[in-house]
Amino acid sequence: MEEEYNQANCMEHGNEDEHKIEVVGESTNPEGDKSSSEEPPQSEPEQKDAAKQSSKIPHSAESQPEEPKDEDNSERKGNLLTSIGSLLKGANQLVRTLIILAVVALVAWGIIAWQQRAKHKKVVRTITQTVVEVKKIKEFCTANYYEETVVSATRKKFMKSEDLAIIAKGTVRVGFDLSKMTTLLTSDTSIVITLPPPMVLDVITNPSDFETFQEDGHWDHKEVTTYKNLARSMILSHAKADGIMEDAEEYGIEKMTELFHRVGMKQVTVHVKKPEPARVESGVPFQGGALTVPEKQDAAI
Amino acid sequence: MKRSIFWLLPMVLLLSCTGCKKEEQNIKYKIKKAELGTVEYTVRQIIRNSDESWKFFGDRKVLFSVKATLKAGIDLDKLSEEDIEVRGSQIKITLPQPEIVALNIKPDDIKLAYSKVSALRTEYSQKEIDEILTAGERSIREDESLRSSIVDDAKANAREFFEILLRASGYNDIEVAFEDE
Repeated sequence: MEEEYNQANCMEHGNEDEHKIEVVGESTNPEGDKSSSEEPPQSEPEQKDAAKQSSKIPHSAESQPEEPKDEDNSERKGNLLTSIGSLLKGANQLVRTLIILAVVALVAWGIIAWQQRAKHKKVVRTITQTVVEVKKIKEFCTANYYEETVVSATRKKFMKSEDLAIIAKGTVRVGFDLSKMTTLLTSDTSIVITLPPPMVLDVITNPSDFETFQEDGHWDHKEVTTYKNLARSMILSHAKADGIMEDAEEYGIEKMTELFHRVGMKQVTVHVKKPEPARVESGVPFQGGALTVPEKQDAAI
Repeated sequence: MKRSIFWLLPMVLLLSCTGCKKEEQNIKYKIKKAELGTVEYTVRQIIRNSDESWKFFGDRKVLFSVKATLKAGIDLDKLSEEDIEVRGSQIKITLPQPEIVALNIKPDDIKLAYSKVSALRTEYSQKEIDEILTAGERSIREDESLRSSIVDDAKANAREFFEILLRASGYNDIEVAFEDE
């Protein structure tokens, strides 16, 4: 009967393992042991029948009473159902948790993958540049000044201060506009060259020359442009103060002399015009910048 | 415990002071050059950026109009005595290959033409704008067709300049050549 009941129970719940667990539990049940100890002694034929029956039933059920009481049965049945129910409940919760975790992991993975893909998509697209002007020039750059400087600004906004610090690298190119150069051949091997005053050809501060070191809050493009221009003018004024114009003039004379010596001139005289305003107005005669280079013996090749 | 705090405090103060030390001196130097610029190109460029990340929260787009100036010419420091041959009234000068001597994009020549940032997105930071503009600058530098065009013009103008200069120096038969030609 017990076996039949157990098998039915097993079929009912469709879980043989759980059934087995329950059976093993019953074999160690003290109540079961007690009921078996209370049984009256059996006669020989009865013992034989019992032996026959016991050989048919599984080993695990051997220790169980032959005719369990109805109360015990119902109680055991209740216990079994409760434990199976609680086990199933636990399993359900576990499965549910696992599903939630899997969904969360899937969503997180999706966001990360989407972000990674978006990062690749974040591309600067540049429309092909167009040449709008071509100009013939004759610029002779003879000195470069390079400086790395910092411009910073602070503004007050809602009880807090916002900083902007930009590191700027700039190059000042100084030289001559050779379209204003004049030459005078005084003999077959001597020449007089007059160069215009040196001028600032370029102040180069390209986008790659700026590095934003500190930026609190949002700074408008126009504001930032103002500070970048400030850096440019600082670099230019430093270059002038550092004597870049004089250096350019000196090296310009040197290079021009060298060039004309190489093309066969034995005596080269280079004048550099001085900047006009003060001299013209005051009527002071042109004086400056003349340099007569001594005759070079081996100039002709 | 008190002892450790006693030693820890001056250490922390010392470290914090060295961390905020300001470098006041600017880096600067001068270089002598001999570059003969013979051509100048003015280039207009549109740089656009569309930020696709976090698109779920809205758009973030920016468009700049940039004017750049390129100058190309000859580096006369590379001209050696062997590059000039004089035979009576004949002269042959071999110039080095022209190169781009200056690329100049002034801050005033960078115009913010269009910008759209939706409410849920942050504004473009200055660092991001620097990156976008630097990419634009790089594209000008790496434009091979632009480079070859400006170098060709620089070559033609340099040839013309030296012919005039050498004629003024008394030479009738002038040949201007370039290295690797």
